[in-house]
Amino acid sequence: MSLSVKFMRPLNFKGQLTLVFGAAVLLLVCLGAFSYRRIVQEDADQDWVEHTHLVLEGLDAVQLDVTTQRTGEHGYGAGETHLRDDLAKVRLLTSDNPKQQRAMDQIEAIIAGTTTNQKHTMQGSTPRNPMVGDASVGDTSDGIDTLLQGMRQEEQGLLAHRLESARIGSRRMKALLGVGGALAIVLLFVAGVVVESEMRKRSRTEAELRTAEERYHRLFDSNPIPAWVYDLQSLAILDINAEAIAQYGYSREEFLELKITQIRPPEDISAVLESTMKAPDARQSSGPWRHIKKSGEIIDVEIKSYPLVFGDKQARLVAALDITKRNRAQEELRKSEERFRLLVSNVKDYAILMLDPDGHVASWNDGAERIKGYKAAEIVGQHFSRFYLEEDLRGGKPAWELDVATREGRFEDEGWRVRKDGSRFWANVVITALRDEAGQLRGFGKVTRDITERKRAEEELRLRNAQLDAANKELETFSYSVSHDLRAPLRSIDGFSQALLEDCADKLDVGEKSNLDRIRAAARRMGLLIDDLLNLARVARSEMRRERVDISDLARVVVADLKKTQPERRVEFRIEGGMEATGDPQLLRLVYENLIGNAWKFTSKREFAQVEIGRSHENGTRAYFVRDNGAGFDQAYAGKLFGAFQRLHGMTEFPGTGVGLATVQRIIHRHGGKIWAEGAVDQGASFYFTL
Amino acid sequence: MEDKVILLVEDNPDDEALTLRALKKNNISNEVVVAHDGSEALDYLFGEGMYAGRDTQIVPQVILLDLKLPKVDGFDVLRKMRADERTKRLPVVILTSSNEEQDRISGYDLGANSYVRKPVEFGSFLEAVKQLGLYWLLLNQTAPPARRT
Repeated sequence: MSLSVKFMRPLNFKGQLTLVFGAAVLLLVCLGAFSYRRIVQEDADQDWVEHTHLVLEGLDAVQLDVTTQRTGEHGYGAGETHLRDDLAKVRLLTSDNPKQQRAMDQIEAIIAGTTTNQKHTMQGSTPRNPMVGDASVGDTSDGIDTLLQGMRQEEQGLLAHRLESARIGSRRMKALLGVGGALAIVLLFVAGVVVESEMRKRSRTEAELRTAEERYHRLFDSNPIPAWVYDLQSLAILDINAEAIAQYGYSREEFLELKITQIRPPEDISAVLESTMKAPDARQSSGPWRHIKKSGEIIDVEIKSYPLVFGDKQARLVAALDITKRNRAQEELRKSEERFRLLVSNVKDYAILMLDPDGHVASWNDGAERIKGYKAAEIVGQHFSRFYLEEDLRGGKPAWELDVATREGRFEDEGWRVRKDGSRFWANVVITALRDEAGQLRGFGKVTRDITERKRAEEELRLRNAQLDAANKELETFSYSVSHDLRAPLRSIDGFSQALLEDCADKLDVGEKSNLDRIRAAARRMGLLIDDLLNLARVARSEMRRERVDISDLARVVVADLKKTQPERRVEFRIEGGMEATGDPQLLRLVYENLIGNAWKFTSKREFAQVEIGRSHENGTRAYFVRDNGAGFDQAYAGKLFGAFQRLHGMTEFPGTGVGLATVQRIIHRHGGKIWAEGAVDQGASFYFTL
Repeated sequence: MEDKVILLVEDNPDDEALTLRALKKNNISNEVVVAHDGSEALDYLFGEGMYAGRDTQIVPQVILLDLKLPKVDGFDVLRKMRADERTKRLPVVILTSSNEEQDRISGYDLGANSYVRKPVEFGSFLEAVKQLGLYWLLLNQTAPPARRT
């Protein structure tokens, strides 16, 4: 771009164009003016040339006249008038030139002199014109000729001068026209450039506008919110975007045939009309309105609308956001919040509260009020450290608890806490760090349980256990001493009785010997009793082991031992194989020793003693049994069987302390099982137990 | 067999009498030294106290040891015996009325060679003594006496 256009930049297009055209116009005007002047000048010059030619002609005429006069053919007289006319003409023609006038004067003077002289000559008078002297007419003619020549030269000079000036003038004119023309062309060129740049700008703007329009239209079309444009007058829908088509179910063609009233439920139409009338030029945000989809489904929408000129119609652009889902979601949220609040607030056994990240109470429930004593209004916002004891506060316990919860996600503790009234209670506290989906710490959840009662119960339990242990220890010592100290005297009784029997055998009679025998028997029985009692006691307090015990094997061992004590007895044993149980091996052994021992004892009077040891399904439960075909017992007294020291047979019939079954029962009960017996007098007995 | 000594450690005079009687009845006529408590037993074994000056080269063939003894009880005697070079290999039969598991365990832990329960009935007691005598005095081989350095 040329410089001129560059510095024109600060002006707008109109200015620029005005400037350029103004300059061009000015230029043309100037050129025109100059041309006009030149033409006028040329005319003038032409006149002058003509004039000069006239003058020259005139001078020639004068010369002729003079010459004619001089030659005097006619004498000055006849041609005088001619001469005078011509002189007058020349005088007239040169009236503007003082020099020529002076020359004229001279000529006329000479002529007058000459003429006078001539006249005089003719008349014979002396010339009055000294100038002329005595010169002849021929002489004076030279003078006139010279003058005339001079005048001619003058005029020619003038002519040349004028021609020169005309030439200069015309050259100047040409130059001016050339320059002016060039300048005009330049200006036109500049104007052209300006116009072109303007046009380019305009077309660019147009293109931009078009692309913007396109873009906006695309945005409109691809707006995720349904939108349309409707005619304010007719309410007809003028344009529709893709989302509206998708959501409302109408096709594009169908939509463009609709009026906006057709997408409302009929009962809403009057309200719609009212609102459109109200403020046709304003941007409006309104809602919720109801719209009907093609399917008849009604949705809630929020409307934003703007005035718009569409094509040439007054219209409005409407964006309708479906808030049905949002409403529904909000409703759901509200319900779930309510549910949650219901849950938390109604739980009375646990204090469920929320703390903010700094430990101030953010929420409170009924349980918290009940346990800690504060009402929600007075505690929310307070720091949770006020629930702690003095010494805990000094140790920085509350802050430390939050710290642990933050680091490890949760903190659990049991400790003393303080209620509003200052009383203490033993609490189980769980503090959980609450993090949102981004992992940010949002606060803490604190669940507190008042376990003062439980603690008390635990303390009591501990105490009782301690007491129990002490009692057991005592019992053990007792048993120990019993086992030692009680037996010793028995030994003495028996031993020395025996000694007597032996040493004084010849001095004693049957009765006396029998007395000693009774003494010994009694001592022996007492020994057995002590053993059985010790067993019973041991069974009660010993630690029970739980192992898998091979029952069949156990039974076999017991039977073998029994056989060894009385090898002469013939008893048929049937032991079921593969029996297993879970229990204390020693105690179970005692059980079988007792039961099989009893069977052995009570079949001693049978010739063909049979003892069966096995498992059975009695009334649907699996039970172990020991059955014999011995003396049996009266079922009526079955209840007494398991009582300590209870015997259903006389001492002389079958020996026994009556403690054995009590012991067995104790063992079975410790295994969590049941024991019962069936029998009939003289028809054997069966003992069943479960574990 | 006669020169083999039996050391009976028993505090109960009745039991002592009965044991001696049982031994006699079984024709076991070895010398029986009776210690009435633990310290007496130790004195005898180590030639101290009331047995000072005894030739401790003569060691009992078997020691019948009761557990419940005054002053020094059976386990302590056993412990001290087993700790001393001179007596650690001597056979010890614990003869006690206790049948407590713990006593049996402790007895064997401390190095007793046998554990026999004193029966109440004298007949059985007699039999037990007989068997003990037969076994420990006749069948069992003791370790050679500790060499005096």
